[in-house]
Amino acid sequence: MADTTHFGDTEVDTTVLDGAEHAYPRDRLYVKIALVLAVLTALEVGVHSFPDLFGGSGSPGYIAALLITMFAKFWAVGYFFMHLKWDNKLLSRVFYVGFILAILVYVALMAMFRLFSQGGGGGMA
Amino acid sequence: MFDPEVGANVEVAHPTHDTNTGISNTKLGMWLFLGSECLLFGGLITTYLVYKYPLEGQGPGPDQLFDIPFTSASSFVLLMSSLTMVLAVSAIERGDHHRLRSWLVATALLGSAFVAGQVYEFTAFLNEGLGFTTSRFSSAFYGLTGFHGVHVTVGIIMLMSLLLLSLRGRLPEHRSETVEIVGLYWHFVDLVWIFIFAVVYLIP
Amino acid sequence: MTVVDTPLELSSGNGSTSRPFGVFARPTGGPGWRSWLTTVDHKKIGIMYGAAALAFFIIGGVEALLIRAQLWAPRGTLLSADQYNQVFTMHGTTMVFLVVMPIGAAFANYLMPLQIGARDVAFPRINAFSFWAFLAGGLFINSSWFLGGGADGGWFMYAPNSTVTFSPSNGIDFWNLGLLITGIASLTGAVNLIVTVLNMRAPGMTMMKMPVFTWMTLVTQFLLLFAIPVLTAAQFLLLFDRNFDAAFFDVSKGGQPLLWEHLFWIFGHPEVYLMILPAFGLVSDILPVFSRKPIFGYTFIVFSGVAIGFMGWGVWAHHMFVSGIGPVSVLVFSLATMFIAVPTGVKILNWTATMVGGKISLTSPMLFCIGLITMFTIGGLSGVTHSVAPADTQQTDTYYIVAHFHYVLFGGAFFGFMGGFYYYWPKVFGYLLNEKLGKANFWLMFVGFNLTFGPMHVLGLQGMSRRIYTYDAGYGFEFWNKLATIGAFVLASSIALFIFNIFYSKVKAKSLPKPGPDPWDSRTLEWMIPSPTPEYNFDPIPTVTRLDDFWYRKYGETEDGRLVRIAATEDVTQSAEGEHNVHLPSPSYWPLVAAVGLPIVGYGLIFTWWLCLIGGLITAGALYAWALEPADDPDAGHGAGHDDHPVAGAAPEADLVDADADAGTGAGANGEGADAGTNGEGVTEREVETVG
Repeated sequence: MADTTHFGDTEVDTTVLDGAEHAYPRDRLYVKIALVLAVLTALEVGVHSFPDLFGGSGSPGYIAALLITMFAKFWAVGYFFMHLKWDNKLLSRVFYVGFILAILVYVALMAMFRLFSQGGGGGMA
Repeated sequence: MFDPEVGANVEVAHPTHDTNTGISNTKLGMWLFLGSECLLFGGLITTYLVYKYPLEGQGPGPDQLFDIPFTSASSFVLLMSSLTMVLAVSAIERGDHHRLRSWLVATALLGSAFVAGQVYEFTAFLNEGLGFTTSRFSSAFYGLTGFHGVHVTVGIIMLMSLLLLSLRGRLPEHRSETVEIVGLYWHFVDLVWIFIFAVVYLIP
Repeated sequence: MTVVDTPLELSSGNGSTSRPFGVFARPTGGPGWRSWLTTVDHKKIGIMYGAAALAFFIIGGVEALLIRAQLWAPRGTLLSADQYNQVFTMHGTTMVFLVVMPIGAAFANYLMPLQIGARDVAFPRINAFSFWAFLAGGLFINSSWFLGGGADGGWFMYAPNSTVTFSPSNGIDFWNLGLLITGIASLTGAVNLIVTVLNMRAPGMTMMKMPVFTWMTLVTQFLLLFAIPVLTAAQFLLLFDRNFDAAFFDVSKGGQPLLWEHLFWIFGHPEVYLMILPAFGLVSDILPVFSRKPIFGYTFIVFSGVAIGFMGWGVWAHHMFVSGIGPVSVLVFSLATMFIAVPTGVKILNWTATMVGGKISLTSPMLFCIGLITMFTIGGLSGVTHSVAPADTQQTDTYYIVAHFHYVLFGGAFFGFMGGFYYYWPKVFGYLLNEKLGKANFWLMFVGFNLTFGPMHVLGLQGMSRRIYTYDAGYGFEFWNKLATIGAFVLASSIALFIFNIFYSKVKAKSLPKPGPDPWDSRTLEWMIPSPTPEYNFDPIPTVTRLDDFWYRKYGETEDGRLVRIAATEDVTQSAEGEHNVHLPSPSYWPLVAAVGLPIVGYGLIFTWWLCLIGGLITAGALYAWALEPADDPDAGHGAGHDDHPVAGAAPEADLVDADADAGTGAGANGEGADAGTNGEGVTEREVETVG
């Protein structure tokens, strides 16, 4: 039976508590992550406000900068706030399979609508 | 895990799950559901991107309408609601019911502020001549963001239900996972908005 | 024989969760028809899936006969063009969504927990909800016949043909909303069954020791999990277009009908595979039994199934070669489609190799399986001809396509299901179906099937269009159409024979000895327990040491590889005698009530908004009651002596596979409700809001 029962969540031991305790080591981390997220959001808005620094609104550099900050935020929320860092890796896999599948399939779809080529914008007239 | 030093009467924050993977059924189920939701929102975001620009003469387009400072502020509000949510989970894991309730209320309030912002945004757009049926852009925009707004609203309802349960003493520590599961849903809704904010609002 | 003999303890039941919160008394789950309404037993739910699917099969079959009767002769007058459109649309929709998918779900529900040695699925109440939502959606779609006519846009409902301008009746609304409801059912079912396979296997049963059917169920449910939301997204666009004048497919506002095609087939192609894979799983489990050999290349069978699951996502545009997607797209999807034939071919090879050198007994289940292999091969080969884009340009929208997909879906999936019915009937109902009638059933079906769909290849190559309600004389269509119509009625009589066999054998069985746990000398765990399956499935839960564990409890091998019996079947099977103190999840009203609200919302969206409100309230209320109701009712339940619950947390070694009744997941029992809430409420809330 031991080989099929397996105990995840190693931090469980430390949270065996009776009643309230005030210090909780992860809370500090959560607040830090929130600060990072705030900074990343500020960066996004910054990129949008000063597009010329990245080669102009809609340029590849501009889009890349926004996509990178977006994925960083996305990852941070998933990894820390949604506990993927600490949880069983199966959960990450299940979620990212859906996420990556969605990106692949829908990017292929948009490519077929010539959204990424010259004169795009849904022009399949 | 059962800790012999603490004794048999103590509730365990994360009860052991007697499953093959060690993950509780509910949590695994929730993550599967969220994986599936990626495809759902992906379809709507794709629709928006294909329909981003209205045909000539059919009402205003995104360039004329979007108020980036305002949307940035409401995005930030939703982002911070993720922090309060995770603090609520952390509070119940250590048995702090008082803080759990405070953070739940805070999360629900931030979520409501976001929804209120969306209602305000929709009203403003409507006044500028963008009805739901005006153009392909308007249908796609209201469809996508409205769909997300409904998800946030459902999340708020679930948070309030948790609060009610907690007030009536039906949310003991050993059921902290229920809060965590609702939290997963809430964070996911935030994830979707992170995506929408960049792809819909910021990238032209 | 090793068994795990831990006490079946329940570790929930501390003060705060043990009180029943429902307003009404908890159903007790006694005998009688009422127990079926509130059951959460995966076996009863599986049976109900099967029964409902067979009922829909008869409806869809009658629609098929109407089509064939109309096409019997040139200028047929049985149906008008409009009626014909409705009949073929509803035939396709019914067969795909209300027959093949739910029969797959029926087998998955009934068998998969037995094959992995579990007592139930992970979320028994969600399981019940899935079934009732499926039934509600199916009845809702079919109620359109009495409320202004069925949908008339073809089962893939291409835009802009599906918009109000071109289809002003409510048929497409019924189709759209009904499939949204069955979509909710499929999605919740998928989550449930995946969690069950991943989390609730018997001790020792690693993933690579699971029977092939369980593997194929896992792949199928993953396909559903990711494919259904794509359809749901597309259906929301259609819903808003039809009911709220949105511009998604309105060409005058720049709407792109092609977007619907893409979204539909991104869903639709995985859908094709998720319809066939359960049948593949059944065949892979039945063939070895009647060849008395292990499956040839288990790993290959499993991984080719997984490969089909993945590759199924990269071929959708081969349905759209003639829609102007551009040469690069055509090339890419053409190649991908050719490649997907490889894992399918691997399976055919493995099945053939399983039979080679085996001691084959041609029982009726075996006949149906061989039927699948041959018929599916024909269908697969005509499928490969579609992957060649220039050829497809000729074939598309002709009867050649109709022939192809009936060879894979009827000749493939349905033959497999028939084999499954004959094979598993004694396990489910405790009596064997008559073999003579079974063989007659097979040959009648085989002949009728080929007579119906074989000529369609010719008709298609001659240029007869599908979906046209009539044809003119003089094109060479008459003879082949007559043949197909005769075939369709032969096919119908084979189904009638099957239904007759069910009742005939039941009557005859009274004077025959009971089939016992293992009538076919089978290999997988479900044959280890009494027939019909007792409510608690296994007691005790077996420990698994290898693939086909049950077989190797009966047989060993000599040094030169010959089979020798090492134990009598009676000694290794479980007995229904004696006391079984097994705690099972309690029945509940709420899944049924929650599902009933959904079609009411649907009627509201079509006819009058206040019905949405009522339906939404019913569903939301039921979900709340559900969330507050413990998964286990300590005051009423099954079995005996279960009322001595230990205090929570004191059962670190609680039984590994005891349903969702234990505390770890019991804590999540409310989460289970909340989880469903995100589906169900999501829909109802949204619909209520948009109406106002």
